[in-house]
Amino acid sequence: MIPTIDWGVIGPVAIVAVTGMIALIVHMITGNSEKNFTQKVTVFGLLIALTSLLAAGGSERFVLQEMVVMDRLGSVGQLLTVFSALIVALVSPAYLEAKRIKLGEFYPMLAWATVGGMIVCCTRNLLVLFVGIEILSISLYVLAGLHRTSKKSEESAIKYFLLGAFATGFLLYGIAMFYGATGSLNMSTLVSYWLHGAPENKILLSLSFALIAVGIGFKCSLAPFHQWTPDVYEGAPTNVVAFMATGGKVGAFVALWNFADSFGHAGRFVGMTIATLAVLSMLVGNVLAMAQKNIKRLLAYSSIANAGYVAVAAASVAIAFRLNHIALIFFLFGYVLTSLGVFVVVLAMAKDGEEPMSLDDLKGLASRSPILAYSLVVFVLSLIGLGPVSGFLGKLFILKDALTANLAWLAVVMVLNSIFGAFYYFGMLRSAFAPAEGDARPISLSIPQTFSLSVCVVGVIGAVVFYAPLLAHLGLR
Amino acid sequence: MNGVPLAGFIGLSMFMFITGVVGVIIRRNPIVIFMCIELMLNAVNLAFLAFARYKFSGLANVNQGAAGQMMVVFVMAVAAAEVAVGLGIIMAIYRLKENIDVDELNLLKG
Repeated sequence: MIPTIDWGVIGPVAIVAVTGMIALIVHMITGNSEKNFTQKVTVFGLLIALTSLLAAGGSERFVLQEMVVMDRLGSVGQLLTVFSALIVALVSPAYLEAKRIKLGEFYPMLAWATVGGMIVCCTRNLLVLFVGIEILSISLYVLAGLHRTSKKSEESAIKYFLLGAFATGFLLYGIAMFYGATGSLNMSTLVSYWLHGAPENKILLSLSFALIAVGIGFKCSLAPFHQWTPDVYEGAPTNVVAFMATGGKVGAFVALWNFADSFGHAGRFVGMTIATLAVLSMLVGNVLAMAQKNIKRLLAYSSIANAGYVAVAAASVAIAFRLNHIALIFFLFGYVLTSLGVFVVVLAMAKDGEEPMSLDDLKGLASRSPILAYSLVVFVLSLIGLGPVSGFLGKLFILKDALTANLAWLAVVMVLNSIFGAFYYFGMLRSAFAPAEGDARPISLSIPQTFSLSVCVVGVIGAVVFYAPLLAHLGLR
Repeated sequence: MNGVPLAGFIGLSMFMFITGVVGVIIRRNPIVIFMCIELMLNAVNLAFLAFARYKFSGLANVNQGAAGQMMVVFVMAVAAAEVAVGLGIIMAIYRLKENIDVDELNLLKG
């Protein structure tokens, strides 16, 4: 008997995948034409996927023998992945033009990376998780090396590729051990075997947890598996990094949270391990970011610190059984909108094959383009977590979760780290409002750039107003 | 096949995996590093098949056995995709620098 399948659940993923294929065919036919049909097709397809995700809502559904689990966290994750791909596709033409990277293949690859991120968001099956992570990663390896004539871009691609494939090996061996203990690839079988299984199964499961944590930790860039992040962020084209840091991370964060959640009420040991990784990531991210002069490396360390905050949420859920995922959802909204906004600002400054590399290159931004400078103020406030902006809400909910899980010490570490973070984030603002050095021409923004920037600013400022109705529509508990 | 216990297969698989990990860490040529990663993936495949054959065989748990075997098919397919991309990147580096030693890749640091 062929089971009936609710195609609506996997529809958005299919739409994005087909969009990539159509975009590639369109690119083969039209080439690098002035009208840039490839980009238009991609943007159109991503818009359809975004609409269908919003229309579908977020009720919990299982399809394909529970290989796809569409819950609220999954639909929010998919929504944010598609949204960041859309913004990146909108602002990319100007950047690729400025950097003289004439490769329209960027757009299909971006669509397929989005497919990978979407798959990771909506599964608790390790086979599907692995396939999703690989679709995401392999597309990102190619995208990192997109700037074929730049040695830095190629170097970042090979570093990302070798380390990524290495981490995949660990993830897979962990899955093999998991399978050996439980005979299943579904994370939900874990609890009963962890509590009641034979002793040798428990050894296999502990080993499996350690190996899978390495694999997922690498994708989230949790310390001590973070070394690739600054190098890849510095070398890869900035529009690719913009997607890597937002859409590419959402899937990994959701996977980490789901994995921690699947330990149910047996997760004390697991939670403490993840909490250790969280502390390391926050410290590494915030301390090393202070020494950075390069904007992209600074943002890389900032994203490591943010991965640490997500790990705090994951540790809390592993220890306090059945915590709500609302904290992670709020944090992801804030993180994606804010990071995208910062990258849109950096991307808009690229001109004549040059782009801002060091913090000094930001100088004079306030006089060259007041819109960019004041948007940057909003994003920096959200990154620090000041005022009623989305970054603040996310951190607040995560802190509340940590306290529920009796992890007061972890909450204190997180607050201290947020204060450390303020130093280097304000460094960005200090440069932006300093008088111009060298190039002082005004920066003109194209319509897609203005649009993307305003969406991010409105999303960050209006967090308190917008998120509640949106989450209610997606069916939050 | 019945003469070899499960522990033998898992032991061999772990040996292959550790050989791969050590190889990735100590070798300097990206192609050799990549071969070591493939060795790790093959260790994974061996472990999956051994578990499927010894712990989850027979009609009673045919679904469990099939899960492990399917995983192996997917691992092989993904490994092939990784090879294609990886060798492409190594080619691109060679065209730019005429040298692919990973110690020479030192533009990005800080």
